[in-house]
Amino acid sequence: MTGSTIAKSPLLYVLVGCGLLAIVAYALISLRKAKKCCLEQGISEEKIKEVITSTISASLVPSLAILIGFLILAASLGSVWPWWRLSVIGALTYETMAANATVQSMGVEMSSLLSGPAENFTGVMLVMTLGVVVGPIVVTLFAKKYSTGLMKAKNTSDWGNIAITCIPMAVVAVYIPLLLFSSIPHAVAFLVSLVVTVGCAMLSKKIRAMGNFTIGLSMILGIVAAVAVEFLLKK
Amino acid sequence: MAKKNKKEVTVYNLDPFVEWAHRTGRVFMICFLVYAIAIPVICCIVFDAWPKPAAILPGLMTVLMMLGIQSVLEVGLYTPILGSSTYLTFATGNIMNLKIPCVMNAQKIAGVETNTTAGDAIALISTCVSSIVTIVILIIGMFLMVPLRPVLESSVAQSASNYLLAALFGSIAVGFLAPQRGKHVMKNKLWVCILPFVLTMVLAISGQLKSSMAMVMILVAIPLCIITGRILYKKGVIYFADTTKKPEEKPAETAE
Repeated sequence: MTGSTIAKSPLLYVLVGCGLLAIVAYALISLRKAKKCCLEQGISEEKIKEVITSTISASLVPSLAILIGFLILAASLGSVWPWWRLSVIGALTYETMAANATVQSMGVEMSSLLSGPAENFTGVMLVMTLGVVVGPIVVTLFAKKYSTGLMKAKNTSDWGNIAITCIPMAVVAVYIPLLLFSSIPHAVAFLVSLVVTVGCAMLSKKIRAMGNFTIGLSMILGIVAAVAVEFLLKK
Repeated sequence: MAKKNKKEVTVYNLDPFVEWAHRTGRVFMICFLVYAIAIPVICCIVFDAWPKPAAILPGLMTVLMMLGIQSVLEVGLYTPILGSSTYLTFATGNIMNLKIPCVMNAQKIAGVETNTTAGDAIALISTCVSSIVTIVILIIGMFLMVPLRPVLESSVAQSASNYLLAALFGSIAVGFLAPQRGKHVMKNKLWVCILPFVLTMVLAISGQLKSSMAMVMILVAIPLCIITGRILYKKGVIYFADTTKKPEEKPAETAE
């Protein structure tokens, strides 16, 4: 029996399919509940729709990048297992690293996982799964206390509010210069996206629907400009 | 005067939605973890294909060592932004390249702040939608794998994916630079970023800081932002203003 037997087995399809259905069901229930809460908090239905449309638009391009990662992993792990891994918990960088670490410790090649013994394939499956349990365990144990503690601090003192606001600000303060100054195409992607976003924001005052596609459009144009600049620099 | 030293205690009750989101989130996370581990275990049992522990243990230890600390840091860094949507975010992954930008963007659009009930609800909406979109795109990718492969594996597509984060942050940056909306807004908050921004810029230009080290830099940036914020708050540079009241009055230096 080879790795391919498991990778293409109906059992794996069913297990992955059921898992994804459960996640989508939980997401839909949460979505409904969160929407109800937003309405109670005075956020209009229109604003919620704007948030949903904008999130779809913002998720499309990164999801296509995840799809590229899926194709890369599918070459050595078949299509079903990477489908599960990239739909849940993982990211391409981690999945590739975990798979590589396992094949190295087993003394085999990534390219031989499907054609090699089934034990190698299940070994990779186990390591890829067990290797990321720390995050979800920490979240399960501490996220409630941590998050609600921050919420209380924010709502009971101005200083607590400032301190908590500093966390997302720190993320932005690091990522903006890091991306802006890492290479010329990166700077172009950033700046074009920024300019397009400003342009869209101005246009959306006249064409309201424009606002929903701002982030998607700005990302596409930013990436296209960066690829063009990279191409020109290579010439 | 008799009760001069009595401390004021502010009672803060959590919104029922926040309670619900955390309770169901924890149950979901436990079920998810058990199921995620069960998939490879079931395959091992059904196909009688157990790997030798000695063969996979070094690989597992390597991955745990590399990702264990990172996972703890990620929970510490991103939970303040994600709130009760942390559970679904950590279950569906792609945190920094997808979920965080989506949540930040959604909160800006809705004009809500993090760590508030409304902010939590908007974060959850954004995370749910974003997770469903990724799952749907991957399902489409599964079925269209043959025709899509040449397009997505082309050098242009590969190189385009390198600029994803830069383009994403370019768009999000606008929201951070634009004036805040809402009733109770923090004035001059961009000043808290100045030190980490300059430090990261210098390190990036000198080539000493790579994108892969962003997490370490954020760990340095958070205390820097908080210390700067504390000083500027005490000096009265950063303050809260009620935008519904006009004219706006800047408070004097915070006496504490």
